[in-house]
Amino acid sequence: MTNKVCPSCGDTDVNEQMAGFREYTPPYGELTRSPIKSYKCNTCGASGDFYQENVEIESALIRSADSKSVLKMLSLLSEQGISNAYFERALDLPVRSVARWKNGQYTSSAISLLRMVTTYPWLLKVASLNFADDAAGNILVAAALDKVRELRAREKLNNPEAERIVAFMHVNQENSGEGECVFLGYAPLKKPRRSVTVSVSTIGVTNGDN
Amino acid sequence: MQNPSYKIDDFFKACKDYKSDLFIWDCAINDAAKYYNLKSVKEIAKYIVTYKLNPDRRFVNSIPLESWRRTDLSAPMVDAYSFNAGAFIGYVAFFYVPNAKWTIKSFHKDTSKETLRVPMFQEKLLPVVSGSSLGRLKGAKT
Repeated sequence: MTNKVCPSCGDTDVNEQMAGFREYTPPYGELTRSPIKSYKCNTCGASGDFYQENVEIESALIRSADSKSVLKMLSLLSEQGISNAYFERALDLPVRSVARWKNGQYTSSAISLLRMVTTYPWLLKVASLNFADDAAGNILVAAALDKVRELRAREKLNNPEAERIVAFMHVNQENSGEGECVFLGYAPLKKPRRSVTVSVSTIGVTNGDN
Repeated sequence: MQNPSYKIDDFFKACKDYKSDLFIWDCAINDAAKYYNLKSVKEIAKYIVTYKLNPDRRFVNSIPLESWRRTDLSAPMVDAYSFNAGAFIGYVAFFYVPNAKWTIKSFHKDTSKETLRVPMFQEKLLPVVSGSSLGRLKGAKT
């Protein structure tokens, strides 16, 4: 027991806890851990950083993990042949933006943009075509088909004994470039599973085995 | 019908003055990072102040703090609210003890309302996909 006061209930029955860790894993980043100081109140059950001793540690942890994830995402894009110049021009960014991000001068908006483009690199194609509606629809459908092929290949790799893989995509492009995308499951079984319908504009993919 | 034990505006005011008036339990901070991408007391407080748990803020219940150990004083009441957090229903629970700080004890997904999805789900534009299925689709080790 210490003479310290619990911020939740004002009681003094407070114990310093054994060293805890704060963990953070950003998308495309690595698990980063930092030891933190933590307290527990035996009166109300509160647990945490009672006296704001970890604020700087936590922000440094987040900064460090985010910086590594930025480098990782830029590396992944580079591996796909996406140059800094292409990235910047397609997204209408100031020149040398990517170089600045690499040096740690990034914003949270830059990280968000990088996460989107790393997840869906074809967004750059859409952007480089000035977000034209028909082109955007076609690129999206092509990307969706590529994804289905990738899923099928992965399933074959993981389950070579599978009798067959049902993966069917129907694209209905009537008047607009959007249409409807139906992915009829992902089923190495004879019995067909429940199918689901997703809108192309939501870029949803599911195996529908819920 | 049960009423909240606290005025929600008093809670928002504490979030605004988060440095002096708000404390968030460790488990709530971890859940906020996991579900909402809010990684610090500052980020959580600013999120609450800015959006005021809208849209669709709904009072859930007000119950005594379960982990309260003192017998000479009655346990503080914990008010819980749910709200639309985008892809899921959010849940926040908080309480206040006089002469202490406002405390957020929970800040996570409202698992009791998984079926009451946001409009995108209600319109059946997106299927409900379980975590394990998503993991397999993404090639994660299960």
